[in-house]
Amino acid sequence: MNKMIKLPLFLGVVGGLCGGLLAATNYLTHDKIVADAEKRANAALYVHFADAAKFEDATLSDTLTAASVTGKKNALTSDNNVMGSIYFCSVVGYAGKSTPIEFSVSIASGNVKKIVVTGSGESAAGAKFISWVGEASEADLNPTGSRADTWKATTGSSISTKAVAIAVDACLADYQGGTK
Amino acid sequence: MKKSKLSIFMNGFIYENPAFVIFLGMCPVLGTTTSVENGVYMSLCVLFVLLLSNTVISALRKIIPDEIRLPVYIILIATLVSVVDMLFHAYLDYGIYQSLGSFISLIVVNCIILGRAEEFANKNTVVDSIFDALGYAAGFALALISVSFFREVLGTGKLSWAGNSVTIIPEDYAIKLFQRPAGAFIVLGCIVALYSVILRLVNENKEKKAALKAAQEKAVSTAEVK
Repeated sequence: MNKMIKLPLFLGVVGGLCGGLLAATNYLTHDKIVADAEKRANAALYVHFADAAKFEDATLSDTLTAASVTGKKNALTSDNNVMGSIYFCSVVGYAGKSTPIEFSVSIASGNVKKIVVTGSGESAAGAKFISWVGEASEADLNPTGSRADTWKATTGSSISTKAVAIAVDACLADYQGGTK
Repeated sequence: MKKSKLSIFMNGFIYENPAFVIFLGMCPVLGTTTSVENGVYMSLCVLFVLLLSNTVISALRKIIPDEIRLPVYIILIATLVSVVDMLFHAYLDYGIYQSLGSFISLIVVNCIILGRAEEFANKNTVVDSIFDALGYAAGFALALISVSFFREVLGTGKLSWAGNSVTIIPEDYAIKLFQRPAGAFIVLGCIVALYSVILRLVNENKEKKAALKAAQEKAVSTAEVK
């Protein structure tokens, strides 16, 4: 056979076989790579709902936006049932506007489950509140009385506590007013 | 003269060690050896690619046209590297995958792989090529793991594997330089010097034994003639 045909044909066959091998490997690994990437991206969300199969974005109401809530995600089971919601908030505490308190709060079954503070410039009583709220039990996060007053009595912080409590109350109201 | 399988293996593993003797594939030896775990996984990458490329190229050596053998080798090696990259991305701990980074993709241009394809697999049987690949991969693993062992111990004071670590020397005495590229050069230089001395002693010892054996055989044949 003419070399002009034979050589490109041989390279084409080798390229085709290699392409097939790559396609098969991609078929085997693609779903896992995508799922792992999504899991890494949602690592902060799994802190709230470790058993969630996936998370979906939810729309924010005007009330939530006014209460300094910047985002909301729903945690779903593998059957697409909502396990609970995670709200992302950015409120101004004692440290001021330049270093807002940024936190996420998870709500399920009508109760606040967990608050994770991701950024703040608080000091003194404000800092004490920030460290306390991150480790607070579910009972501490859901007091029978006013959330702001009870937290203030526990930590001694007033301005930062009130700002966080108002945002958390707005999130809880949104959750309870929803379809959960 | 046909070489034994053991001598083919030992050639790549010891006498022509790719990193310590012929200085091939130095980028990963210097770049990925910050921890023993990285060294082991990089070695496995190279073993996988080298073993399969040598085997396939040796099996196809009679049907690959001589004019296009290099493009064919490159396509095969690039495919195997892409396969191992995808498998590592999917199944290896993501932290380790990230720390190996572009060095996995760079195996495509690793001189050891293409060198063995052209130098050995192209001219020898499949079984011999497998032993050659195993020898060179083992030699490369020896280099990666020994360099990473000293860099990790001297640079961090600890040895880590899968998130667990054992303290070898107190952290205060660890020298951070060994975790940096300059530390890799220093460690590699020291190991290469030591390796050269040991290899020279072994070779001299071998030559002495061979000379002694030859002299004895000569003496016996002379006595028989008399």
